[in-house]
Amino acid sequence: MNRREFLKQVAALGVLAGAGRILTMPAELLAMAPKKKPSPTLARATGTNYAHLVGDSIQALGGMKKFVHSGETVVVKPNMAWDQPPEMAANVHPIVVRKVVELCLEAGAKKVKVLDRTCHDARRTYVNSGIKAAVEGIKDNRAVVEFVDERRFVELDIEGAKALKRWSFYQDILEADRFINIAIAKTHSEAKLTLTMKNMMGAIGGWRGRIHVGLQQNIADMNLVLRPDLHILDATRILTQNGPTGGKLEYVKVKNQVIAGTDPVALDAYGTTLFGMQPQDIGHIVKAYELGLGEMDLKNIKMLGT
Amino acid sequence: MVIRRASQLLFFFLFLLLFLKAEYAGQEVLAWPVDLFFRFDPLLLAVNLLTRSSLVYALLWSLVFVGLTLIFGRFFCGWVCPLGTTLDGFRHLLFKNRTDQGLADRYRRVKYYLLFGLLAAAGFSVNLAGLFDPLCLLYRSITIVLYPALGYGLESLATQAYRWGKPLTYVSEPFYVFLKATILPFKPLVYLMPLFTLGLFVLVVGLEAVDRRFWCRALCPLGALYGLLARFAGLRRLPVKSCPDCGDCQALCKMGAVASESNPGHQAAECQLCLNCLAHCPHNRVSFVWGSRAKRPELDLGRRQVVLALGTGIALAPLLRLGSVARRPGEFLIRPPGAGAEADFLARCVRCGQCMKVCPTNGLQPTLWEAGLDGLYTPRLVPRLGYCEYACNLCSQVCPTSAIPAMDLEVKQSSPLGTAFIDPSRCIVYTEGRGCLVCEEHCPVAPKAIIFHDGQVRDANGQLNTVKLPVVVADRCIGCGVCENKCPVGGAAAIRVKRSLRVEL
Repeated sequence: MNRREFLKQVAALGVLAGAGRILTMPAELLAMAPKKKPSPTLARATGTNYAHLVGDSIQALGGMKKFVHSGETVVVKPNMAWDQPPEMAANVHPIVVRKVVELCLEAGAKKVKVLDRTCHDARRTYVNSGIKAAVEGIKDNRAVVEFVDERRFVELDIEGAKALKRWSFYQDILEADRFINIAIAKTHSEAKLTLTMKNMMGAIGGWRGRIHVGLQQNIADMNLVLRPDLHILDATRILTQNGPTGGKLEYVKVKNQVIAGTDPVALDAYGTTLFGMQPQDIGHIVKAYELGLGEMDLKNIKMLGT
Repeated sequence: MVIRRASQLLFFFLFLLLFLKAEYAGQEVLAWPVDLFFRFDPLLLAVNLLTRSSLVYALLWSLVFVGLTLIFGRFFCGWVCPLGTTLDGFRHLLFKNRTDQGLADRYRRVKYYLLFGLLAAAGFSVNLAGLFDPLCLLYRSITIVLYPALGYGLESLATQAYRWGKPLTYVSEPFYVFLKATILPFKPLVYLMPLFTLGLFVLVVGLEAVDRRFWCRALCPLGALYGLLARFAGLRRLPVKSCPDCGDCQALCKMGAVASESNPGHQAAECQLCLNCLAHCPHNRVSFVWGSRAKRPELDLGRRQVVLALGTGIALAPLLRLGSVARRPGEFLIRPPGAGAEADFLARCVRCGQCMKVCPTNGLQPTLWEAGLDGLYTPRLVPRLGYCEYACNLCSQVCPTSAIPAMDLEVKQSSPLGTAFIDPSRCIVYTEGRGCLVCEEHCPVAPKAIIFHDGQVRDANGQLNTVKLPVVVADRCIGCGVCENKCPVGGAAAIRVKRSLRVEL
């Protein structure tokens, strides 16, 4: 390189640098740009052996050991809020819960607590959902099915909430090392659908009827505090009418699917398609997306499995 | 003596055990015969027959005690009756060294008049026997006030200890878990009219300060019924007359049954066979023998008084009935499932309080005056406190007189207790134009009895909002009241279950 070429290049670089300086975006503008998050991954398993579906979907995400480590305390929160037998699809299927608990135990969990703050009388729902018997059938004293103790709800400020600024939450869930949410896909007139995020209603205290005014935002807000390490959507059978109570077999549609993931918004977005809906049809999915709780665009969601 | 005490304690604790077992424990059918004591109550059988309600076969067990009384005498009161044991217990605790005032002897006949009056009224379908039956009285008192108070007390202690935290909870929590597993209810129970109920109970117990076993001697209609039978008992106490040289047993006898100046001869109708006189006679003269031909003392009730008692009962029947007939059941008087016509229900219900105890939601509550005077302590559903659980029929399992009849679950689930009505002037959706639908969410029937229509409501800013307006489909509504129970509006709910044309009057 001779001197002339060198000077030319220096000049060009200088111009480039100057232009670069001018072109550099202000920090605020940068913050507004969409963050390049890795697209959320869900894992779906299809089939009629419900225990295998749970195993396969979690395996596709890397196995339960990725979520639960040896010596940890786990709270599993299935939907077992309604006094209905398993075939009515008002509660999570007992086999699904049992398999999740078994996987936690295999992963070395010190204690696995299964609980729900129910809508009907808890004694009845725990028994008639079949979940109590299913979990106790494991015969491992690390796994317990517990009734909610009303003394253990603690009030918290919800940071970033738009409507539900303060509410009470279950201490055991807040203190547990790991929290696993198992929801069943059902219709629900006010929320339209109840999927994984709506299932968090069973982890909160207080007069929950009051939350139904402005329900969609409230569901999104409570998910700011309650962030399960793993969500499982039980779509082995779904309730397509008369939800969330159900009560007739004709309302139940067998889908033979279990979907697992760590992004509840993505999971619920997928869940809407089970009912022939779109994610944007469900208010709390949109509100949760707006709060940055996850991805609702189906195109950006990676689905593993079958 | 020791055996008698043991028997008293055994039956008392059996009574309490059966009380505790009247609770949902994971089975649709209760594992224990929790109404056992009531099946053996001949007073309830008598009113069941007199009110000409369909015969409850389980009550025929009481004929066993009728037979035993004809053999042994009024042993029930001294050996079995849990209220009698309760009174003995309280007397030992509170009124140990009081001397009898003798009032109970003077008013001894009152219990017979009460019995006759109750039976006469029962003949006219006014069933008030349960208000005075000792088993009903005790069960009701424990249900409505004593057990809830114990539960509330222990719960708040445990909560206080829990708030203090460690190290207190190392001791208190295992203790609490133990209590929860044994004697405490699943969730704290609350009932209406606790103080009124406590007052009546305290009155019965307080009478012990006047005379030992005052209630049993002067008031108890079941005691009177057993007394009438015991006069012909095969087992007799000798001597019939008082001994001229010694009157120890007169002071000893807590029933005032022993012959004395006021008593011409041993009152078999009063003697509860406690056998204290047998054990303590300084001369060993007392004996209980079979086939004695000694003259039985007269039971002088006075013809006039008996006629008066019967007459009062008969006269009171239409008077009380007039009250409840004129009143008609109030719009919020919701009866337990299957109660049927109000008059029939009132004639069958003995106000024992078992249905209130067993109701898993705590929704069945005692009635004060809402059903007329003859409806006192009958059960009614107060949905704001607890709803009728859709798949539960425990109340019909414990009802000793089938006032709440046994029904298949399908029948129960399609028999309306009332109908829900929405108050649009209080419902959040109608007044504020904001979504809610909690009532619809919980409605257990399929298809739901609460549906919604899209409608437009102007909010406070004048903006028209499209909202889901809840509407009751009256033909589907069974009046279980879960909607009223869960409604988030404060105070009285914006949706309430009322009597309707679908409920028999």
